[in-house]
Amino acid sequence: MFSDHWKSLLAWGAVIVFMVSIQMYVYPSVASSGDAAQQLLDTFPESIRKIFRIEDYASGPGFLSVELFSMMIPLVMIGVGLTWGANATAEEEEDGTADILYALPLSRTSILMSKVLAILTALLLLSVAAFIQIVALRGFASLTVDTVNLAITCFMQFLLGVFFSAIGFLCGALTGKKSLSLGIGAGFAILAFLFYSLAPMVDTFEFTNPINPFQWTVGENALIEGINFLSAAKLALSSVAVYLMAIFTFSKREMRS
Amino acid sequence: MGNQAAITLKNLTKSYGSSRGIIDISFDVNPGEVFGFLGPNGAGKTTAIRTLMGLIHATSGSAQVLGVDALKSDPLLRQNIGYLPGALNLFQRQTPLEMLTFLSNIRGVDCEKKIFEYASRLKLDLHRKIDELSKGNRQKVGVIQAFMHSPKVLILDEPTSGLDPLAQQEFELMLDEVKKQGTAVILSSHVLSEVEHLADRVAIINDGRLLVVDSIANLKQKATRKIELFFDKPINPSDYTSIENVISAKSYENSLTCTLKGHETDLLRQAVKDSVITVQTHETSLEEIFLDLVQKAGQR
Repeated sequence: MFSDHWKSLLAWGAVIVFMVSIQMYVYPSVASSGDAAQQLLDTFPESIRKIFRIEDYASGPGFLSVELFSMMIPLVMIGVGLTWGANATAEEEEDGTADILYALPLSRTSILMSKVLAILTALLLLSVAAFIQIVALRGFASLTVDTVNLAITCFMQFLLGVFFSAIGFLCGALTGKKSLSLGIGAGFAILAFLFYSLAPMVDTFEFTNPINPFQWTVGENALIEGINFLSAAKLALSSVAVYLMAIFTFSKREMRS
Repeated sequence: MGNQAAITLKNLTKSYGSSRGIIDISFDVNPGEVFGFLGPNGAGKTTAIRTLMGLIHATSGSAQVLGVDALKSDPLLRQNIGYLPGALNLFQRQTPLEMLTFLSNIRGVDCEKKIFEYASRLKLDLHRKIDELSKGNRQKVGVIQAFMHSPKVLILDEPTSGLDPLAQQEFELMLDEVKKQGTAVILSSHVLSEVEHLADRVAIINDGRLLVVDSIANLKQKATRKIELFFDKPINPSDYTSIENVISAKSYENSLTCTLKGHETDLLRQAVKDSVITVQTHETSLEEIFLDLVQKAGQR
């Protein structure tokens, strides 16, 4: 599967590199406008500032947090994770090649494990690409950011991708249909983001924060705060749990021909 | 393994709630035997085969392949099985050579020689993209991937679908070769003349239930068939209707047409007594047996 999808991985890698490059190119003008940009952002409602973690926008971490790590990179990681996850469990059944693949002398679990490994590698490469590109261009953009916190942030984005790949994986194992799985996964992501964005404004939704993957990643603002081990553990363990559920479901699945 | 059957199905059942599956399917296939598996569309042939392959899960019953429980989806067991699905879909973006090499690598068997040999015999271009191949050529890829690792068990669902007559002929030779090497073969097909030609025994399935399992010779022996007898004088049919195994007899001028089931010894004895000149037998084809059995099952 990894060789089948290498073009897609390259394309997504290029998207990340391009997005980072554009933002790094823009940053010097933001930094030079300094107070003016911050004053403009201060006029935004508090809730919006909380959703996008707009704190000290003109600083390196503040800028990266708003422009890359609150929305753009999570979108790519979620998109890639969901798509690859759903493909991994639904692709052969939908293409009608399941009868060939799953009649080979390999257990379903070992086939899925190799796919999980491919997905993790792809997501890791994407987050590493973001990290390297920021580090490479920060001198040029005169952007100051703590390298360790940046690495942690990129790693948390990787974990976010892994979590949603597990969701795609489970949906594919349950339905055997790629588009339906993507729909369910995307619906889940939108709902999670909705709760995450509403929680700062509506007290009723605050209870969702401890169980919301957006809160575990974007909400922790690792660029400034550093690592939150509890959130990282929640994300990693819930991903493992969802993957295990998916593998169990898939082992019981009735393959459509 | 001795005389042990290579494949044994015992009361294999797969139910889909109210819709049809298979019910209590039981048969054995011996090493070196080609076993025809016949039935109308939707009778349950593919369901039985996919259950045996572990692609879908049996509701009850058991299935053993090479002495191993086939329903437990043991990957090692599948090393010794070659399977050609009825609804064949291949990895479209690859060439046949890439796909077959990929599959042989997964099997951990060097199949290169066999791949080139079979491709040459079936006249398959191994270097064109699969999505550019005709249905017949794709079917050849399917046939090769089932045969290439010299499995002890072959499960073939409509193997000659889309093959041209030359490729069909070559396929029959390939099947004959593996049979001689002791491979047990389940051959599901709609081409009854092909099954009649290739299979040692057949199972006929209808509405998910087995109607019969027997050798083709026995089925023909048990089937109703016609015999025409020619005499030098008109014959009274009633002299023949009382003979054992004769179901009916009709005369026309100096000829007599009898339908009978079972052996024809007594009939011929009487005919010799009446100075029969010529005997014409009409061998019942597997197709006639199949249609007769399925129609009778439908009337029940």
